[in-house]
Amino acid sequence: MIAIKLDRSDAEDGCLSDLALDQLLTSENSGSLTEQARRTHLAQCAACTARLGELERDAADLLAARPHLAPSPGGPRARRAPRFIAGTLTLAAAAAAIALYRPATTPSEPAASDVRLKGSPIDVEVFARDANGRVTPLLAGGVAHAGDGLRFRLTAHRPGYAGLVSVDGAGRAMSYGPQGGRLVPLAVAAPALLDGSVVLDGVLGRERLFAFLCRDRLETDRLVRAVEAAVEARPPRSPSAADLGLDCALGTFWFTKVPAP
Amino acid sequence: MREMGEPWVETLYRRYGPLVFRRARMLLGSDEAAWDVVQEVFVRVARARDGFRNEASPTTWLYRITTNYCFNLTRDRSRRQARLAERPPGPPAGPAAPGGGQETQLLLAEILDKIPVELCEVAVYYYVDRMNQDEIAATVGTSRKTVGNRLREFRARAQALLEPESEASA
Repeated sequence: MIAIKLDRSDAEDGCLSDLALDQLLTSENSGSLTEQARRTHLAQCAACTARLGELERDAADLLAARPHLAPSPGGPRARRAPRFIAGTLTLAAAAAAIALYRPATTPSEPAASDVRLKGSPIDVEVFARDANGRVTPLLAGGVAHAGDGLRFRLTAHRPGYAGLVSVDGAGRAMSYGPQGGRLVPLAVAAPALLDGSVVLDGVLGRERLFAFLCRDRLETDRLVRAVEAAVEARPPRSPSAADLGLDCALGTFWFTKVPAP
Repeated sequence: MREMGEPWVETLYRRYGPLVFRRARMLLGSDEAAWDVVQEVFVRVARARDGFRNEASPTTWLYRITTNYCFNLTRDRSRRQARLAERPPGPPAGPAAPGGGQETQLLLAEILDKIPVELCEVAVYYYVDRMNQDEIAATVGTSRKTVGNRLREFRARAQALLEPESEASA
C-alpha cells in the first residue's frame, strides 16, 4: 500500500523546509537561502514560525531527556508524530523562535573554536554552580536547576560593548549583566567574565539568553526594554537583532530550567 | 569509545543531536531505534572529525549520513525478515513513535526494495522533507539537473508500483 503524492513542485508551498529551519536553529548560514532570507520569510509566515517553534521544543525535550550521548535506559517520549507517515507525506512545514542555539565553549575544550560557526559576533559561555558547590560548564540546550548559580563569559569577534539579557520560561526579560547599568567594552577574541553571578529562581522552562554586542555603550535597561517589547510583539518567536531596533549584534543561548534535585 | 566522551563531540551533539534524532525517528518510526542511530552517527562524526569541521554545512552532512544509515538499517531488517519469511516484519525495537512505527517501516522497506537508493534518497528529501531542488543538490552534492532527473525517474518507478494497486482497488 504505497500512496505517495507525486505531484509536488518546488513552487507549491513556498514554505521553508526543515533543513532551512534546522540551519537557522544551528546558526548555520549556508544553503540556498541566506539567513536574512529565512528570517524575512519567517516574519511573514505563521506556519513556518510554528514549525520552527515545534523543532525548538522537540530539541529542548530531547536534550532534557538525553543531555549526553551516553546511552541511558528508556528514551524520550515521542510527543509528536513523525512527518513520514505512510502514504500521505504531507507538509508540516515551519516555525517559531529564532533562538539560535549555539554550543558554548568550555575551559576544558581546546578545540571548541573548531565548531564555532562563521558569522557569530559574540559567543556566550555559561558556568553553573550547583548546591554542592560544583562548577560545570552549561552547554547550549542543557539543563540547569532552580537555585544554581550561573556565571557568564562572553567572547566578541568584533569590538563593541556587551551585555546579557535573559528571557525566562514565563517570558519575563531581565538583565544578567554587567552590573552597574551600562554595557562593558569587549576586546576582540578576549573572553571576559561578566561581573557577578545570577542565582536561578523557580520559574521553570526554557530560558533564553541574548548576548548583545553594541556599537554604543548603552544602558542595560534599554536592552531589557527592547527584548521585552520584541517578546511581547511576537510571543512564540525569539527576537532577532532586527526586531530590537538597536545597533547591536546578538548571540544567543538557551537552556532548560528544572526544579532543584 | 573514548572519543564519544570528548567535550567537542558532546558540544556537537547538543547542537545537532536533536535533528539527527528527529530524522531517524521519522524514517524508522521508533524512538529507541532513533536513539541508536544518534549514537552511531556521532561515532562517525568523532571518527571524521577533520572532515566534519571542513563541511560547509554540517546540517546537510548529518541529514545525509542519517538518511543513508536509516536506509541501510531498513534494508537490512527487511532482508532479515524476508529470509525468515515473515511478512510483515515484527515490531521495531522499543515503543513506536505515534503515527509511524511499523507502517512507516513497511512503506520505506517496500520502496527501498524496488527503487534504487539514490532515487529514494532524493525522493525523501523532496516529498517528505519538502526541500527544494537546490537544497537537495547541496545536500546530496550533485547538480540541480541530476536532482531533477532522479526525481523524474523516481516518479516513473513509483507510478509503476502504484498502478497495480489502483487497478486492484478499482
